[in-house]
Amino acid sequence: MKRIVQVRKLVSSLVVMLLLLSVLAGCSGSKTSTDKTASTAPQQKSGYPTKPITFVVWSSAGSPLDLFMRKLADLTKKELGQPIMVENRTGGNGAAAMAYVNSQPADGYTVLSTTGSLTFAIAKESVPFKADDFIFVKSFQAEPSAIAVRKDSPLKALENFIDYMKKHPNGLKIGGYASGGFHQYVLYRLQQKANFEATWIPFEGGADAVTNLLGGHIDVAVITPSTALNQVQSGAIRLLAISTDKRSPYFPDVPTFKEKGYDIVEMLWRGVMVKKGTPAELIQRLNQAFDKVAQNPDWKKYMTDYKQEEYLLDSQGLTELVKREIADRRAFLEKGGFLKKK
Amino acid sequence: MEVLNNLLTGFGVALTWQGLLYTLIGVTVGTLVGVLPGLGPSATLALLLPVTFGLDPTFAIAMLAGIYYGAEYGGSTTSILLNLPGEAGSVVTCLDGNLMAKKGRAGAALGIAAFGSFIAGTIGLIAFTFMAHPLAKWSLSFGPPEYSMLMMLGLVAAASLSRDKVKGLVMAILGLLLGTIGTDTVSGSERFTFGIANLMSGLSFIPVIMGLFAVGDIINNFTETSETGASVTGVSYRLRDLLPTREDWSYSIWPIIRGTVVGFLLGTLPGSGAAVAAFLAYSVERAVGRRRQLLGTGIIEGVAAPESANNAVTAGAMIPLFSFGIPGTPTTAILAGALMMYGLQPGPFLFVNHASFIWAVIATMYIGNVMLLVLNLPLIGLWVQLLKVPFYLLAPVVLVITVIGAFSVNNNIFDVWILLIFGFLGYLAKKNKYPVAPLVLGMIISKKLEQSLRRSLLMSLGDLRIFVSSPISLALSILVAVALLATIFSFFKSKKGVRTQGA
Repeated sequence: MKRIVQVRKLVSSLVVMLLLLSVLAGCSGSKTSTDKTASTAPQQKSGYPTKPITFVVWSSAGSPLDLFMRKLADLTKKELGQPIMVENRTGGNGAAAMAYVNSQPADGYTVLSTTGSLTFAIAKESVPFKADDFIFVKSFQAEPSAIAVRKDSPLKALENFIDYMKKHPNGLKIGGYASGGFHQYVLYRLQQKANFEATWIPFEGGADAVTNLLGGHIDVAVITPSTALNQVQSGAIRLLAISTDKRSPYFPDVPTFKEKGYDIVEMLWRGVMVKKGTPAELIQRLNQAFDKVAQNPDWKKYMTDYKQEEYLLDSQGLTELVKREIADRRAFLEKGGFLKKK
Repeated sequence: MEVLNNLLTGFGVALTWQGLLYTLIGVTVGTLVGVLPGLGPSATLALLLPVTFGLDPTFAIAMLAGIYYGAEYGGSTTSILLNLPGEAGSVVTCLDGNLMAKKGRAGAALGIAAFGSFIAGTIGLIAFTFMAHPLAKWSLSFGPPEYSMLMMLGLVAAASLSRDKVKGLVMAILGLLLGTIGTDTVSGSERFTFGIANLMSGLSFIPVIMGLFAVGDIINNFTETSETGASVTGVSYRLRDLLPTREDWSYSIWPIIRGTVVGFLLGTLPGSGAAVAAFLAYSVERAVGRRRQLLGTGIIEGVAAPESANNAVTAGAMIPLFSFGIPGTPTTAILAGALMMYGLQPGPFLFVNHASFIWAVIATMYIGNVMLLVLNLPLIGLWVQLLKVPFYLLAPVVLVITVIGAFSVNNNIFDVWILLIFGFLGYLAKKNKYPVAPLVLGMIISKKLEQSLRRSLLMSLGDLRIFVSSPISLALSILVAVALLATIFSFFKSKKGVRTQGA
């Protein structure tokens, strides 16, 4: 008898653990729905939104894109007066999340994260979607790329780097995050304009490239400058040029490529998109809310804390940018032999 | 002495009631997360990050860090009791740990895992406190060629995982091949994805290991006709009788120390991870341990070494984060994000600009390790009761846990299929006496090994001498060669022995 009771106790405690697991896994949903601000926020006449909205993130919890979407959800729910759940659906470079959003109705209740890396994926045809499958709603923030060297490097300025590479093709070990991705693309643009040859050493992450630069395993890294914030501030790493339009407020001493005479303005942006066929007035409503969020002091603080450049484009501007990026990136990928042979 | 002074000031904050409370919450959640398979520390941290907002940063970070190192404590529990590894780092623990449980020695296994984790965690912290700077330098000296050789060493370790070397090798190679599935980061092209979008980022690791170990085991048990289930009888469940005996301790103490050193050193290297450390610690025991021949039959060293190693990793992994502001693991990346959320920039400046904060956090880690020990020891009594649950009741519950666990990693149903497919593979392997641990090791190492190799060759423009050009890579290359020769030698020796016996 005693044994049965014990067994029952155990089974029930296992069930409790299971429930806990599902609560943790189901995560912020329950948190947001109990938020008081949701009920007190101004209600819009138009109707939308009348029920909770889901933000789908295609990267894992805790990634920069995830933090962006969670912050955005947190501030947008106050504007829209409805709770917003954040769901991570990873897999297939975003394809899993895109497929999921495509399976949902085009009613504005499922909003998907999007970034400049999508235009690479579409150009490379590594996701089974095209730009027309989605409506790009808004971009909020962006990060540039920069050319970085160690403190003890003889390369003092961008000119030195380019001169050296011209005299010694493939003479320096240059690396950064990913193969056929954003940073390699920026280097490729520079190669095109300055006319030199270089071998690219791809790393699994920007941080990986920075430690390899610090350890002297590579000579030059092409990175998102905030990855090496400490080293840039302490002087252990020197940035030769940055791909922003004007000098970045976070790195005011670093010249832009443009200043140096190379017209390279490239930003890896983050924003949101919805399924095609979503009614225009819903998109407008979302954009109104997002515009307010972008001006929110809380949002501005988050942007500064995470060293993000403001990059506000509305639906039309973003759609045009996406088209242009896809074309440019396709040219780069073709040249680099990254496209599948047909 | 300044360090000691700072640390004492830190304890002043850590020992306030809030400090104790948030550390306790952190390590408790951590233990729970470690016990539950599928739900990893990085996902938990990301989910709890918004909750901590508004707390004092010291306590918030103390709590989040507690979840991180607490999860490694809990990870061994299901490995030992249910042959269910919830994290990559606790795969090795299944080998001897689960066999110990089947022999009725689950308590000792869980006990040595807890003590080993405590000792490793604390030694790791002391090393972190006093030697962060030189260790940071050592971690920078690892570039692609050094990683290549380190991973080669890990691969040679595959031979130490099974008694049947040939079958072990077959499984290790299968693991290497499975690891190549997905997008190749050097060329950016897809391999073996067959157009399935879910395979583009490779096989998810957690469903694979849960399938191979737990699900495979369950299917196998169902097909066995013998009496299964509450097979362990006549075991006392008093806590005192459950803990490791003096004899256990004398066998375990060196494996714990060796495991700690291996784990801590590997932890400082960004990206090598708890799993490689645990595997290497196990193979070190195979090479130098007092009872090396008995490893894999359910001896306590087989638990003590990897469990110490995977805990020492967490302390080591803090070094790149605090010395450079560069996170080396997904979990420390989220800790970095949390610091940034409080306007604290992770990196060396923390020690200068926010010294009181950082020392308080370090102090809470010392306290958290003690808490984890106190928390986990009484739990052993409860956990061991699980073995009294008859198999027909336990199996469905474990299956449900694995399915939820597999799903919750990515919220993707595809991973549940992976779990089931690998469960069936695990069953086939078990039936035919193929060891699954080398497969797991092969899979872990595959990507890192291939990429480091190719990256090195890109750096040297194809010159192989790059692998012996730095002192560390040269030393590692020699170690690989010696380990390889020793393995081949012992293989032929044992084969000859078998043959003469047979004749």
